[in-house]
Amino acid sequence: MAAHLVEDHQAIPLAAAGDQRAFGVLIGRYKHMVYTVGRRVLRNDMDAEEVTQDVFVKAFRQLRDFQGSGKFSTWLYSIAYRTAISALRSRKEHSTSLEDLQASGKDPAQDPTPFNSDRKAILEWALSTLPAEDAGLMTMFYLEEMSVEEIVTVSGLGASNVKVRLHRCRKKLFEVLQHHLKEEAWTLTTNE
Amino acid sequence: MDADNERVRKDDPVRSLFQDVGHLSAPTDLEAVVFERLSKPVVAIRPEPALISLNGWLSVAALLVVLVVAGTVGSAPSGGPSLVPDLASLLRVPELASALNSRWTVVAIAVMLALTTMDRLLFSRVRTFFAL
Repeated sequence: MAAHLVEDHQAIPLAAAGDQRAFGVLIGRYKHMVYTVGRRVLRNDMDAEEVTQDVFVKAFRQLRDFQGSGKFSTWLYSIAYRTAISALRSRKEHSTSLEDLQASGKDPAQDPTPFNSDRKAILEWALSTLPAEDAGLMTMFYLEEMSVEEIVTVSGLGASNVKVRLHRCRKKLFEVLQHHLKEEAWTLTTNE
Repeated sequence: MDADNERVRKDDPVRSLFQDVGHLSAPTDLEAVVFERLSKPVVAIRPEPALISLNGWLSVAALLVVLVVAGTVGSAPSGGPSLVPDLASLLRVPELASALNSRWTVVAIAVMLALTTMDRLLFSRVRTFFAL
């Protein structure tokens, strides 16, 4: 049977029993999701790669604990976000990088705005204006389309805290992306 | 935040940007690296037992309390038979007799022996722990 035809609920019990092939199916399916949250929180390819490995190693060893009552992706996302936050805090304890300092108080007006950059670069630049932990929350909200309740489950933060952060970050993202979004809308209008 | 914001709106331009960009690409060799890490034996962290167990500490504390009480209650030099060998007469120092016959002396020697034993016990456990 082709790997993409194997459903999560079929692969999970096999992987929990130690079947690495079944776990390989799950890695293939979720590796980009896990890498994305790691990269958005840590803002560094090497750290994101390491965290992604850690997440799958942890997931394989804890798979028996997965009850199956919730979605596997939410369970895995929870491990990914918390591992990334933990790595971020560990990194901050050891050094305060220039990137961290910039991320905590970046001024979009001072930034070399990527007018002609692709959408990926624009998004990454906009996310870099947010605190690292909030960039992860924004990814959950906008990319994974998680509800506030799901974000609360994944992040372990309180509901009111999540709501306040989402509100603040969405406002900030709208501000820094305003120019690009308007330009895109104008381009679309003129092309029609 | 109102109820509409509990979940992202489909017409939100920022959502469109996120959806267009999608997930970032994980390294292609990720599976191989993960399986390589999983194939390595897990180093089990075996917690070392305490150098002296709680019961051990309680016994030592009880012993010290008994010794101190025994040393302080009615510890005036006695005129009775000596509790330690009559070193005073052997060493020909008469003043030593009253000191040696005191319970303080016995207690001091017992405390010293107890502490020395405890010290040797601790040191032997430390040697085992660090495989010296």
